[in-house]
Amino acid sequence: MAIDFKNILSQLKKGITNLAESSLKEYVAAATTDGQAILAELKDDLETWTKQLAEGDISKADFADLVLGQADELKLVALKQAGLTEVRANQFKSDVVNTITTTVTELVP
Amino acid sequence: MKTPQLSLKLLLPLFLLFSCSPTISTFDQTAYMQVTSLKVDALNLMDKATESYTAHESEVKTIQLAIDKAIEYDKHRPHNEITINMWTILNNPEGHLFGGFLVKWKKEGKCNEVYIVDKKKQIGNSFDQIAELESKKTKPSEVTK
Repeated sequence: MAIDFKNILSQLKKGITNLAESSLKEYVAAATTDGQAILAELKDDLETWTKQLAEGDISKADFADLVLGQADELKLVALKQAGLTEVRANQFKSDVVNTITTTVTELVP
Repeated sequence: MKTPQLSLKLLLPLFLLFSCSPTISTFDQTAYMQVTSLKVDALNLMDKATESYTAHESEVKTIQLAIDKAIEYDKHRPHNEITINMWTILNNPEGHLFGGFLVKWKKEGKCNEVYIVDKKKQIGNSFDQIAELESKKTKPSEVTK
């Protein structure tokens, strides 16, 4: 029996396109929410520390350390996001393989 | 002679084998427990920084050793460079997170209570970044599925 490669490729194209669209949509939504939450928190913290410095609750050295610590914390957030991107990329790769396997095994007699 | 159908089906397992190796480590329960447990210990120790550093020096050494062990454990996991980099920033004595906090406490003898509250939030969030990445890594059972 002849294999209908045209149909297999068409099914694969459809499946992988849907997969890419849904994965990208989820990733962008999660990264945007995460990024906005971090920005809001950083703004609040900076306001709190500035007020504490003005009222003498913390020293200039403490204030500087907190601001520099915030920069270090942002590096960790960026690294976490990079790691999550790799996790999602691996998941996408795995999903593509599963799509190919399922499609081919279903369509090849 | 093999039919094209058979060849295609035989190629699939090979395709799977070569295309599924992950580029980042999989989830590790021990690593996750270490980071969450160290977060609690670190924040508890920070509460004591209103007191003299010398009075708590042995506790500082104990937690530093525990962090060193956690980093060493993570160093021996494949494709785990991102987590190692995160630990390095958190533990850097010349930085401004936990490693830097311990140096500041030692240098100043005691820390201001308001500053400690602010710093605990920052350092707690920093431990959380490592824990969150670990918790979202693919489970080993899902890789081999």
